[in-house]
Amino acid sequence: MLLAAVMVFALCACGGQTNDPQTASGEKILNVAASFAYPGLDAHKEYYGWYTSIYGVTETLFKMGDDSTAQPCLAEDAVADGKTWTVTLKDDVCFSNGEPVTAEMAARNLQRAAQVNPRFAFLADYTIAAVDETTLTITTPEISPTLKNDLASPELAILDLDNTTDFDNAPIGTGPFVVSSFEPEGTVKVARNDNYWGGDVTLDGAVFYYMQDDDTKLMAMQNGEVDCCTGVSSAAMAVFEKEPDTYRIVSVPATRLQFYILNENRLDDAVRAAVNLTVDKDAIAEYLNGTVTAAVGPFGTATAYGKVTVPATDTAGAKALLEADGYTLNADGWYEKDGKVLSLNIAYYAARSLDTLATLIQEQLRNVGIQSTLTVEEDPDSTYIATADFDLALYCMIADKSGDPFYFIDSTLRNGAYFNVGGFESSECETLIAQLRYETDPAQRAALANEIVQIAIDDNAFGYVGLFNKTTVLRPGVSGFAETCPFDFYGIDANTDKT
Amino acid sequence: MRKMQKRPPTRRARKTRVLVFLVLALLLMAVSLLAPYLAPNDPNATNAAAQNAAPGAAYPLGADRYGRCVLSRVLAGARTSIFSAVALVAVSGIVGSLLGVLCGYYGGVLDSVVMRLADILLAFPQMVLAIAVAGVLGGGLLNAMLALGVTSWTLYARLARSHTMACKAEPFIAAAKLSGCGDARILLCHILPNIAGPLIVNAATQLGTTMIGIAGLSFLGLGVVPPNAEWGSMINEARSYIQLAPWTVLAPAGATVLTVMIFNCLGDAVRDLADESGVA
Repeated sequence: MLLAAVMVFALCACGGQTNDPQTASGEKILNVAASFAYPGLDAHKEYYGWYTSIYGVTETLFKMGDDSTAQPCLAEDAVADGKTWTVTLKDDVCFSNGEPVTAEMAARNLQRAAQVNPRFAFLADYTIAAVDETTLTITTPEISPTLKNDLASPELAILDLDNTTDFDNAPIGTGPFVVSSFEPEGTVKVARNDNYWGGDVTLDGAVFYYMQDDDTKLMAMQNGEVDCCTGVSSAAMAVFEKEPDTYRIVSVPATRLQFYILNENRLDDAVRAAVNLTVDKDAIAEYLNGTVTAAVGPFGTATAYGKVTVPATDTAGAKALLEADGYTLNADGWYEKDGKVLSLNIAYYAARSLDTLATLIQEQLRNVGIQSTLTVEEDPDSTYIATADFDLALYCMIADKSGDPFYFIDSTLRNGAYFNVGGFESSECETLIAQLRYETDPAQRAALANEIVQIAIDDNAFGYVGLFNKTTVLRPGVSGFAETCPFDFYGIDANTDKT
Repeated sequence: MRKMQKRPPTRRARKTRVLVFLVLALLLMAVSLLAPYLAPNDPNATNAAAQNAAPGAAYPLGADRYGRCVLSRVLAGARTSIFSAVALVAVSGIVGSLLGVLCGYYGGVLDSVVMRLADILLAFPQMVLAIAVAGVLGGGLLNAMLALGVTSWTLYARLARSHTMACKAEPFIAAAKLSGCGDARILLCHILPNIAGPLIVNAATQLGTTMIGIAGLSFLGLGVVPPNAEWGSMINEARSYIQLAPWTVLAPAGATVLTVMIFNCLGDAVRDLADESGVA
């Protein structure tokens, strides 16, 4: 009896804690489930800037709009003249401590990012100079057509370098919110920045809970502990969809790509073509419950550089190709050649729904008569990407970081590129990539990109399976969590509201 | 721990219990052997139209998120789950018992080395050690079994050793020695049969635990490789769908509970019978 009484008491105590005390006092605090949490807040380091941007603490000179173009943010505009860009800052921008953002401070921020972040080391080769209080010039060694997009990278946030004493825990930024409490890799609380240069901030603050597990996120949404979350799994999606009055689901086509590399050193042309004809992207997208859109090429079909064509799924055609190549079906129903069964090693890691892809691709290949085994790895980069020990390797990455195709093409299709481990080689591609690097006309860039990607598609070097939609689930009354923006690194801003 | 009973069951009742659970266990094994013939569908065939389908005529226990038949997968998993546990218990039982008998009979350096090794392995919780070993060896059912086998032999070794030491002091062993029996003959013909009772009882009680161990490793993704069905990995795969399609979790979980209960009850019944017969 006593035990029961204690348990009831304990349960009541727990129940009491879940009631948000801040809401009770009438403050508008948004509770968010964050899929990730970093050990530091120094926006220039690693990918920490992604989250300081989501927290509404840091801002950049430009920001990516919903249409994937660079929009003014701290900077008013940037104009290129040959290799020199002139960036004009807005007049009234200031840090959360009231200090104005000067061109000199912006320049020093870019230089600091170049020092502390290897991915931005290229900025060290740029000559960055402040002309006056609000104008800076950036001179690049070669023509840099995408500088505005680069400056929108959340890692190039502008911080008050003079007055910030603790970059890891309390950076001073320009955003509508300031960090009020920070636990490394844990809960992050932000409060309204009363000095915000952009005007009134609607929310009083926000709390970002680190919830890695999809089920935790789902249940936290269900019991009202959090008001919104992103990165919804297909299982959770199906649960949310059942209650349209309780949850608002916003899904926009985004740029995170699920693709596979076919190993040209191990699989001949006919086998690769047969695999690509067999894998049914639409069927896979259907299984993934609207969390992905079936891909054609690596970029969204709405973009100018996403205009490529792939042959439709055709299992009979795949079989015909294999048979023309000398493969015959054996008694067990598998294709074999010279007494050797065609068996593919499918390497994958169990994240970003790649486990579902692996299972479905294996099943689709089996229906055609191609045997395969699955090899799951914890860390693809140090295993199959490094060793190229695979026939078909699944991977997921953001194909379009800044509204431009160059990054993805340069890291997967160029000779010797990090992800070009399957033996894809084309001198024509090399020439076109070299052209794309310095091409300034957007229409011309798109045409080059389409041509390059089409070569890789025609060579059956890769298979582009699905593009994740960026899905945000919000409780009724919550709005403005960057839910219409395809980029992952935006969250709350001055207009985010909770009623 | 068994509680004191007012009226202990008769030997006949105990025998019946053993028989009942033995029949049930054999029935389970028969079902798992005949799984390919009993399964209504191909356990690995996906069907987009039947994603998370509720139990019905085509899918008696429903379908999972790939539209695969849950009943067929549970049946296919039975073979993996039951036979891997039986094989693991058999192998670790034999290896452990032989080591224990040798240690108990000869003593000396061998005894010290093997027993200290066993002590070291027993110092870690079995599952933690198994997770570490399976993590190093990588996925796969065989690796998961090896990981559990690394520690499970110690139980048999320690038991066999102590019983051998007691047995060694018996006069009939001295008599066998005097009549010119070699060590091998004494070990195999005189000691082993006399200590087999408690070893078998121990093995019987370990079956259920081993099954849970293998399912646990598979649940963590360290056991069978997809798409092969195994109860632990089925529960893990279906975990996030528990609100939408509870049958995908309940079917393999129920099968695990039922099977482990039957094997545990069999182990208990065998032990009770042995207790009364004075073997253990």
